[in-house]
Amino acid sequence: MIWFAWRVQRLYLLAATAAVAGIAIWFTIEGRHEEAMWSCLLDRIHPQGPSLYCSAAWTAYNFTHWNPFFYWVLYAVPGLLGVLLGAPLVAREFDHKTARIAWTQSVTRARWLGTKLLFVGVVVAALTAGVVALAEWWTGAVRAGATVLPDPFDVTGLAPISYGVFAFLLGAALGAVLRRTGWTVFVAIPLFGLSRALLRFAVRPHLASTMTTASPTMTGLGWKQGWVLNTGYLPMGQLSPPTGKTWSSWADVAQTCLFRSFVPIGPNSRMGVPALDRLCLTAHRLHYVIQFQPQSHYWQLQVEESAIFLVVGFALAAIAFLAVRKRTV
Amino acid sequence: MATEGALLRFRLDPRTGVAPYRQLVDQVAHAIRLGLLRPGDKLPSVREVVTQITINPNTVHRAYRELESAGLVEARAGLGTFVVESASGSTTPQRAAALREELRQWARKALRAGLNQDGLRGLLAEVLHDLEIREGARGG
Amino acid sequence: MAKGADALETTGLGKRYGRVWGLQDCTLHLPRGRIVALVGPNGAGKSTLLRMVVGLSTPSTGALTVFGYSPQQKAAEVIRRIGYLDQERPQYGFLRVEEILRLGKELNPGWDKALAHRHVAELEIPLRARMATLSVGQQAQVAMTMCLAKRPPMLVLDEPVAALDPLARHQLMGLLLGTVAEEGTTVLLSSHVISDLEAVCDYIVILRRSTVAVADDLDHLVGSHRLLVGSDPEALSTLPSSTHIIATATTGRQMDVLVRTEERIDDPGWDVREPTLEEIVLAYLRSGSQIVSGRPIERGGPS
Repeated sequence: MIWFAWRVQRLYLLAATAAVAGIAIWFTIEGRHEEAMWSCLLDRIHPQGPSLYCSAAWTAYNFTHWNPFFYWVLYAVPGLLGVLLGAPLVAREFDHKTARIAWTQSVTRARWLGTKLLFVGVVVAALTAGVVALAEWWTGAVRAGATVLPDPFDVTGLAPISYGVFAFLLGAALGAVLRRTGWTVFVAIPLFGLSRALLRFAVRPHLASTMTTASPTMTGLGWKQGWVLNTGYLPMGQLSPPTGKTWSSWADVAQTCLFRSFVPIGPNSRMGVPALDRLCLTAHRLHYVIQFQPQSHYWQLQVEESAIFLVVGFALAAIAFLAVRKRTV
Repeated sequence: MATEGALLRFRLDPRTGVAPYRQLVDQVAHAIRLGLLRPGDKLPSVREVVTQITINPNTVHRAYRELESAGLVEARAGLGTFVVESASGSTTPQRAAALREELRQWARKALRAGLNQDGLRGLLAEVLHDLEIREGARGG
Repeated sequence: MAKGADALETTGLGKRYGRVWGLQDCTLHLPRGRIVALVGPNGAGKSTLLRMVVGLSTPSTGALTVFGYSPQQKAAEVIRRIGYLDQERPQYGFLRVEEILRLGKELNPGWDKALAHRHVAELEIPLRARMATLSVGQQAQVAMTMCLAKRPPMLVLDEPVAALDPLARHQLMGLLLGTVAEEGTTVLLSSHVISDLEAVCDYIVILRRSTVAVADDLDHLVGSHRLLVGSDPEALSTLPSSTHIIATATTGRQMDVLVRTEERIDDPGWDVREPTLEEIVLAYLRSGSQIVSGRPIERGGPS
């Protein structure tokens, strides 16, 4: 049965592996270039001062490194891989009616589906793990320490593997229900995108207890690591908005304290940015609060989000089994 | 698809109205009579026959069983069906030709004497029946 | 295997598609070791029945067992015992012949690899060719080989020789019958072409408008029906009361009447002949509500 699962999906599996390998090679070539420029950049802000080479490198760096294209590739691959390997798994056998052959040999439908899901699922997990390794290396230098932020979070750690497996199981389950490969892909991709967006914006912030830090004014904080969820001016003594109020409820009031003082942009500069006057704010009994997820919560969030996707994925697999059992082909 | 060692090729004629198994029996008996099949020859296996002419294997089994009870062939377990050593009615082609010529002359005589074909057949059947009773000869 | 169980037993079997019944009130007892022909026009329910037998489709009503096992409850037991050839002949076009045979080996315990390769070699089909590049006849033969190499106790074949040229048809049937000769396999095959079946089958099931019109041993069926040829419509009333008229056809002054009867008909008004299988089947397919007492004729011969 394993040989059968492999042989029927062979083309898709090889194409997927080739695509991931191609991305890996391309990133590696680009990445080494990036690494050189990054170390240049570090040199540049070193007190010793910039080198001539580095200033040119810095310009080039700004255009190439944060070209979001590279990032989007890492971002999209697990989901695309999962859906494109999952959709034809069952749907194709219905499309071409070849399930009639598979289901009249000597293996039960359950064993047929189970072996296919397990075999290709493991390949999906392995390929996405490879992409994660690539992403870790790629973003490592720049995002050192701040991986809890959404963009690096989505491409590092365990989460992308769970996205890939989830997308795969989603594709397989939809394929078992819709029975047409084309339609399955068409429906699965937006559904996957919606699930990811839902998790990222609505669920993830609450998966671990948030932390808050307050200071009299915006510029007084010394924290550096964390994923900012909400900021705003709140009454002193409060660390989150009371019911009925939002984070921006006191923004107008705070605004009236603007332009009362300036913070210079450099040690000897006479240019400054407007800052909110500390005394003014205190008079209004307001302080500045930041709600965030700290970097130390990174792994907890990763594990919990991955678990959610995997649990839903297994529920989808159960749906696939039910659909296959009931179906006339 | 070549059938190995086939000594006899069967033919079914759907137009004659004769049952398939009967046709097979007649063809084997005829072949034995003409000396095309000799004692000790192996009849085609059931498998070979149904591959040649696509008929139900049971039909072939039935034909072979009837041939066996008529004493023309015998089944040897695991080896096949063979023409019997003392298969009666075996005669050389020359003898058969001589007998046919004798019969022709007799038939011409009978027809000229006023018998029609049905009467001729009836007469022959009567004589054979008579011989069977008197001499206990095996029917053919 | 449930001892002594019929190859196929159905009781009141029915399948509904929305509001249309594809098959209804189907009750059959098919003994083992027979070659059973399932005949009937398109849409009569042949494929519907065969798909339910192999577990691809679920009955809407009634019960069905294959060698005593239900395809719903004991799917594994049933599919191990059947070899199935689908009417639409689906296939993995991109697989090579040797890979399709390997599929058979991987998915079926007790698969006879030597037999499969021997068949394919005898038919001169190249092992390295992809299925999609073979001719229709060759594809059918490979599909048949797949079924035969599994060595199942029963073969379920949906229109196995449809769309095949005469040579391919002969080779396919030869392949099938050769195996049946050696193994005593039960065969359930559906077909349009009745004339081919008379020599091959020994049990007939006639489906008409989604119900079973006839299910009988071939010899008994032919033996219990007579074709009466005459010219006097009044003579119909002089027939014995045990005679059931299946269908009549009038051409000019000649009347052909197919009847079912258990006794001899010596009426001088009729020329009594033994009908061919084709004449019997066509009569049943043509006839409206003239089925004997509304029930299918059950076989009652040696099993």
